[in-house]
Amino acid sequence: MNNVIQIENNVTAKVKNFFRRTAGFFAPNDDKPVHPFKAIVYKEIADHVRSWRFIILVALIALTCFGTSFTALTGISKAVKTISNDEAFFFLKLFTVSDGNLPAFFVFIGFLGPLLGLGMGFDAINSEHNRGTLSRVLSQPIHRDYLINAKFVAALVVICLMLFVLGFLVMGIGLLAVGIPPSAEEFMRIVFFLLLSFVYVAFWLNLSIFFSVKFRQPATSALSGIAVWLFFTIFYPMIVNVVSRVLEPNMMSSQLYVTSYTWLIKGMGFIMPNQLFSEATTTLLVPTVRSITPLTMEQIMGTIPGPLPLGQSLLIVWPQVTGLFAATILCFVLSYVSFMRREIRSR
Amino acid sequence: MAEHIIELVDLTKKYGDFTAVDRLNLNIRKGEVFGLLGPNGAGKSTTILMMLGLTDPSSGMVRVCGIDSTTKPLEVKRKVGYLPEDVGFYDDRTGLENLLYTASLNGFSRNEAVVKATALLERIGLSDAINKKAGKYSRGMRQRLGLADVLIKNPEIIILDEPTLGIDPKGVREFLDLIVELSKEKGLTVLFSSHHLHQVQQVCDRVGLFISGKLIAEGDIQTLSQKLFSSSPYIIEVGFSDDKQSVNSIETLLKRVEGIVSIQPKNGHFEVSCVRDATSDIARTAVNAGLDLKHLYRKEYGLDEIYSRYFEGGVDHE
Amino acid sequence: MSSRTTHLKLLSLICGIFFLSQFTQAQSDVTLYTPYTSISVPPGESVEYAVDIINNGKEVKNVPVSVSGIPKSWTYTMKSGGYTVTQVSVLPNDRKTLNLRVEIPVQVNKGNYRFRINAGSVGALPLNVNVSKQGTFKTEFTCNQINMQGNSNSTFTFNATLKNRNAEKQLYALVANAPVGWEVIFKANYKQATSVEIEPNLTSEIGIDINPPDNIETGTYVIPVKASTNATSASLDLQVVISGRYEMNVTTPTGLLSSKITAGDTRKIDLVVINTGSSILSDINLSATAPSNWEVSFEPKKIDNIMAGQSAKVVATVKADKRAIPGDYETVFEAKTNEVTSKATFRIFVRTPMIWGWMGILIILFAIGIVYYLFRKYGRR
Repeated sequence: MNNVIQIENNVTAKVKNFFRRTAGFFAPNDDKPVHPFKAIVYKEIADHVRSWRFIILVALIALTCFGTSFTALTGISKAVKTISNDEAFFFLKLFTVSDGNLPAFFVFIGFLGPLLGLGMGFDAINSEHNRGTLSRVLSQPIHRDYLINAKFVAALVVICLMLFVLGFLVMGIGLLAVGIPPSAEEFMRIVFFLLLSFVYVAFWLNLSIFFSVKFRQPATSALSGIAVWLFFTIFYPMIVNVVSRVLEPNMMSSQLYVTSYTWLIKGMGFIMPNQLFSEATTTLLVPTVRSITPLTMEQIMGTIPGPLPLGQSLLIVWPQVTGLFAATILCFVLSYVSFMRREIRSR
Repeated sequence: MAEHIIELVDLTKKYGDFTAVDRLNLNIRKGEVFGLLGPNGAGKSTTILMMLGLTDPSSGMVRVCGIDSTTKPLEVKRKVGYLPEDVGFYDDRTGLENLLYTASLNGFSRNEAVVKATALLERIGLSDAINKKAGKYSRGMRQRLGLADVLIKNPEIIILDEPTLGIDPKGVREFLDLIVELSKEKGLTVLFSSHHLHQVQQVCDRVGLFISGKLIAEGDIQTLSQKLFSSSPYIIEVGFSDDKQSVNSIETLLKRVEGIVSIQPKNGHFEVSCVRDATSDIARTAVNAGLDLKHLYRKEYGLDEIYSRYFEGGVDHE
Repeated sequence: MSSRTTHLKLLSLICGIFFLSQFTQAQSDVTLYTPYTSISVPPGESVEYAVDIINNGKEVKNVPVSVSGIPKSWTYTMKSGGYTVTQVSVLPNDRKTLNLRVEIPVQVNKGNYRFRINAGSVGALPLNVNVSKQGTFKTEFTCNQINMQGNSNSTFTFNATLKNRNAEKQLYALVANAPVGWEVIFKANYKQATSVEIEPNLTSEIGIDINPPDNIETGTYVIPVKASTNATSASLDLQVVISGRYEMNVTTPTGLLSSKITAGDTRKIDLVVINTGSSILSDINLSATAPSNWEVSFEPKKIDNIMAGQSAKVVATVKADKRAIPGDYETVFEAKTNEVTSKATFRIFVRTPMIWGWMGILIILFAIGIVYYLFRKYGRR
């Protein structure tokens, strides 16, 4: 009996401890020392939240998102009365429908997400260096990678919070406007969409942190980030376009040529992070999308149109998710290594 | 010798072909103020970074408080306060906040840190600027804040890399006095790096002389000069009012004096190096030869001499 | 022997009558004549005689006419020139025709009935009506096709005629004495009815729809149907010959017509071919219409026999295209005999193979592994 009670006490103590710790992460106790890593994270989060740059970016994204969701709402509310809730995927439409004046929510995230990521990371390391705080902080009893990891974590926490707050606000607006709760499937799809957006923004964040390690001048780093972004959003699609037009197979082309052509175009698209993101989000937010790549007649024959379950949609976008994730980690690894191998010198 | 709080054994750091620090052996005793003197680019900062474990040595060993800085940098950093050259702060935070951040990185709770930081800021004379943004601090205030930042972790050793750079002379004096006071107060070992020999001379118990990654000499200023100038410890400047005598004739004349090692003509006067104090002999010889002696001066062996002698003529010395 | 003597007697009788009439003619100038003096009719019929009154004299003759010797229940009318007449005046060397109509009632005994047309002093014309059958108060319920063949699914429609041969109007109740499970519907005047009213001597067309139970075995079934009143009734035995019914159904043991498959994978689907007909099905061939690049095979490929009501299990092995996209595909399984075809439309949900998912996870794990390695390598600085 005693043992049981003891175990119970133990468990409750553990649970309490867990909650205390979790709470402690958000509201540190002034009497207890904070782990240095957390201390850096707090400080970085505070820096982000206080910075005008972040406030402006968030305001921009929030405004556009609300704008799109309102236009989507006006478009949908008429349609939603005629279609039953199950088939309509009304809540998903909030994120995907546009009235033509403003792009849809997910397009905006795809467009402004990189800006957010770049904006939050482009001066992460070099500004510390230029302010002369880098060597001072690193001479404190912390591991060197604490600084760069904490910067990642802080930015990711902020981005994650921001995206989820925005996403849930849009859902809340939809709920208020129409009064139909989202189905569990829809909700999970939206959560996965937000997670994906998070990974996407994290990619650009890591890229810009990498530039901030590599380039001493924040301006150079910011410009490099924007250059990469512009390259992928504007120039690279043009190049792909030109290549695809030049190599386009005609009636005389062999089957092998046609297949290798489609693979080439697909492969070229696969290294575009924004392409990966938009493909993945479309599939996640539009359940009737069954394939990202163009389909052959054989594949289409015999299909019955209908929405896919979430698991299958996830499997379809899995390569995209993996690609984005791998690119994100690659950027992290690059910035981590170059930061760790860097000579810490004063200004 | 157990008192050696910093030990460097054959410490070498190479950047490609360039050797920044070359087989450095140095011991610093507990409680002393050690000056690391050398021109810019001599390898002082690199040595300091290796002591802190912020840079890995190519070979050799660093021990700080008996701990290997290369393998256990964290424990070293816990005991060593480092004020980097041209220290920076988070400009949009107040001085206090900057100190609190450092304290939190050192594992102090916030309440503890507030007490400590306030006391320290008062001690270094920044209590008025406690809630002022660090960006609005003057250069001197910044350096003092840096000192407080170094001290907040209760270090055993503080390493100051060019701490007086860019401060006005009055500020420098105050700052240096502060260092000496604090080190005495808290029983700290201070490693002070500078290329300003006067400042080093003013505060340091011992000096290490650093050129091109090599420690040329170490010791207190007295022994240092003797060590360095052992071949010709005395330098006498001799000037003559008329220049009808040729340089050569004067040289041959002076060479007769016993103990003179070399004579170098310089801007109309001669620098005479000798093994003993030959001032009176030189004067006598010159007067006897009918030369008009304009000035005769026996130089002190200050760091200036050492500095100019080794930094300027460093290449000869190799 | 006796028949010969009867014949002789009859002959002598006819000769006697003939002689008598010749004699009458000779006796006076007026003669009664009709060609068919002896008629054979069934009961309920009416007989019409055209009787000529011929005046061979030199003066006008008034002839009173009447009928005598006719049975009581019989009715007759004698008309000439549209009038019922009792006396006819005939010009010399002229003739007049009388129309005698004799209604023979339905209920009359079989036999010879004699009666005479009396023409007063002139003479009489004896007539003989032979009622060929025993007459009754009778309802006739007839059908010109009382036998029909079909399978258990078909509806047998008989067209019967109900004739009221009674003197009065009758209200018939229509009843079928069918075995359990059979359905019999009467239709009078094309409307479903359980009774019908018929004026005497009139007919009504009765349609009878017979619907056998679905699971009836082959064979000949007699369905007695009856039209009855309290006075009279008539019945009719309808014959329904149930021939073999060929029906089958392709389904699954659970009845669920959907399945899941991983692209490029095979899946066995249990099918059941049920003989829902009433006769044996043989040589059942199985086939499938699947999306292109899909392969479907059956085990067994062919079923020899399935008894009525029995079922056979078939395992269909479906191999999906490697490049099939996730989502629903349609596959139709078909069982076919010479007589009948049955289809089962399957909705097959294609899943993407998890292998790529695992590959992705591996890649991610690998990436995280690199990060971990780097943390280990550089992290302790």
